[in-house]
Amino acid sequence: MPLVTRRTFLIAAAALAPAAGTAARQAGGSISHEQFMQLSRWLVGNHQLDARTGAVYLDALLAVPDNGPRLRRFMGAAAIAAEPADIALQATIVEWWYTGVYTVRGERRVATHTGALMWAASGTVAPGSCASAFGAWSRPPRTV
Amino acid sequence: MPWSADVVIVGSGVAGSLVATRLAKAGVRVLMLEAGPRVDRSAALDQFRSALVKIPECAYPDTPYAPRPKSDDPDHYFIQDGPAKFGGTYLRQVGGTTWHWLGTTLRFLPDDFRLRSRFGVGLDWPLSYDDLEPWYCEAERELGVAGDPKADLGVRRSLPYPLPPIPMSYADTKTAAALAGTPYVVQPTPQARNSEPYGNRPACCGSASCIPICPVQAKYDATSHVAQAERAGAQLIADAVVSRIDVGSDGRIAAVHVKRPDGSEDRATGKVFVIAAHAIETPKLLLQSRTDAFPRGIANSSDQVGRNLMDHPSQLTWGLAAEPLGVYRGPLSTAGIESTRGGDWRADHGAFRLQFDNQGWAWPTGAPDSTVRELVKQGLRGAELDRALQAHASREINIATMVEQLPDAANRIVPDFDRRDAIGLPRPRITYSVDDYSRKALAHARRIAREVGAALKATEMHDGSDIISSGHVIGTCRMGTDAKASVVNPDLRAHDHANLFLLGSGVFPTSAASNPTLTIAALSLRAVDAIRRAVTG
Repeated sequence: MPLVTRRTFLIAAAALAPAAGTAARQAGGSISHEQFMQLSRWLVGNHQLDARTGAVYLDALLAVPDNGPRLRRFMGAAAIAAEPADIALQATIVEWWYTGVYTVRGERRVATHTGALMWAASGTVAPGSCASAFGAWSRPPRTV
Repeated sequence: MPWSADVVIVGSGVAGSLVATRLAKAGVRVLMLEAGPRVDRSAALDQFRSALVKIPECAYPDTPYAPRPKSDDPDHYFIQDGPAKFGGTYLRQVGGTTWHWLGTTLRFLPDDFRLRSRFGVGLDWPLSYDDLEPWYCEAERELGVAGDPKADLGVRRSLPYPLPPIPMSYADTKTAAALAGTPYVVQPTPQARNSEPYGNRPACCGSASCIPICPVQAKYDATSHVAQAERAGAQLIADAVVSRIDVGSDGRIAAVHVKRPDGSEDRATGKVFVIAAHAIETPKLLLQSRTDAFPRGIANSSDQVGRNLMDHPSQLTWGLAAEPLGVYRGPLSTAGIESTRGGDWRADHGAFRLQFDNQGWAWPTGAPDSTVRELVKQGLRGAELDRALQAHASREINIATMVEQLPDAANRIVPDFDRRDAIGLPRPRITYSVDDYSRKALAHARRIAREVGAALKATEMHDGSDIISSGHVIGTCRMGTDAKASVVNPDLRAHDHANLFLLGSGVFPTSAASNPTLTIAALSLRAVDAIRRAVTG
């Protein structure tokens, strides 16, 4: 289960909502960057999330007109991910954070390679980065 | 004024740069002409990180003036004439394809040099393992090979490995234990990857990105020897695409013509010419230099230039081991099953090796991205997703089988004069097929790969249905003693032109089942004396 519960997420989201009232996005029926990061943390669990990557993802999501109101609805008291389209959108957000790859206007792009959550979640580091001391790969993984 | 040197070398990969280094250190004036650009390692790393599809070529420039094939698009540069598509790739840039090679440095076996005599198939090389053994030692010293002296890889060694072994991965060790008592012995792979600082390069830091790029150059690449050659006085000109070879009335090579990215053209003259542009570009250059006097192209009185194109046809077998193995760590491969590279069956089917991957299902499925998508689709989030992803990724095994391919004159590359690249040069037209000799070997290799999976109590076992490329481009300028049936002699000198040498895996008469780079290096180093004699003679 996510480490941030749905209840604590809703409390945090409610607290953030007034503070973000001046955001142009919010005025347009969407959510602020801070709210998106909060939503993301609730969806992916106990990971450090990069704010700039979050901004890239939010911009990409808002390029689809339906996404703004849907994200806004996630911040309210309505049931989270009650509809198939809501579930799909939340899955998209999770997938983007884990793979570092997102889609905007039909084009897949890399937001981050080293910051993709799947590496840390897999117990390793992104290929192309020095992982450890020489020979560490011969030792058991941390799960053993 | 044309450029001029004692020796003009076309290509700056492992073959060209090794020879350039040896010659320049001996006081020979050397000019290296490289079709592609110089590459900055940190820029290449950035390009790798930002690449959407992380194919072997993704870190490097694909210039319009020196185009090259792409692993995910066999029609990108090659004109494929069938029946199969040739998937071998290479790089055209300073340092050549060693930028994205794996680093495996197996020696060929004695029987690899006498395939016709021993098994009645293929043909014999014009030299033996014993002839080449001292040069294997030299090549291992130059590249910095780390190997396990206790591993019996089927060859006599006159010198120890220059570097201590790269430790096998935890997964390989567990696989070796699981296979104990079976005929299949897991052996550590000799590799040109530093196990301690060597050649002004650091030890491996386990980046798991040997292909496409080592971030710290712990893996050997030919930029090491390019730098040595330049320090010794060799001149290297990048972005210089050799487009044509001129032959004088005496039958000697007189000059090469060069096209530059800005459209200008140059010439280079020399006493001796060395073409080391790998096994597609070298024959293409020879063939596209045809004239009325040489209607078949340069060095091609035998009609063998461009023929006998080979690869190590490969298939993947993957599954999910019962226990965590901790893959996605360390060099991309540290061990394999090597005993199958030789055996009495070679009259019937090819030799082969099984290479154990350390990158999970990245090659067959695009994992871990693909695993993430599947788990997210199942509704997992947060810590549950992390646990499931780690449990899956850590148990992913993948075995790449790669098999011997026999020479076949019909498998060939020719320049397509009707389909040209951005600077007007013919693109390579390739005719390629994989015969039953290789297909039977693949079937045997798959069976053993399945046994490996069974020993690890693996589930979800899959065999890739496609025959894919190992990226080992072999043949096309075969070596031999008969000028009517081969292109170069054992010194790699063209039978038809006394001052022309051809280097690289193109000269291999047969493919064997071992990765080709160490043998390329050994043959190139062996040719240096003959090249020097050609300069002075």
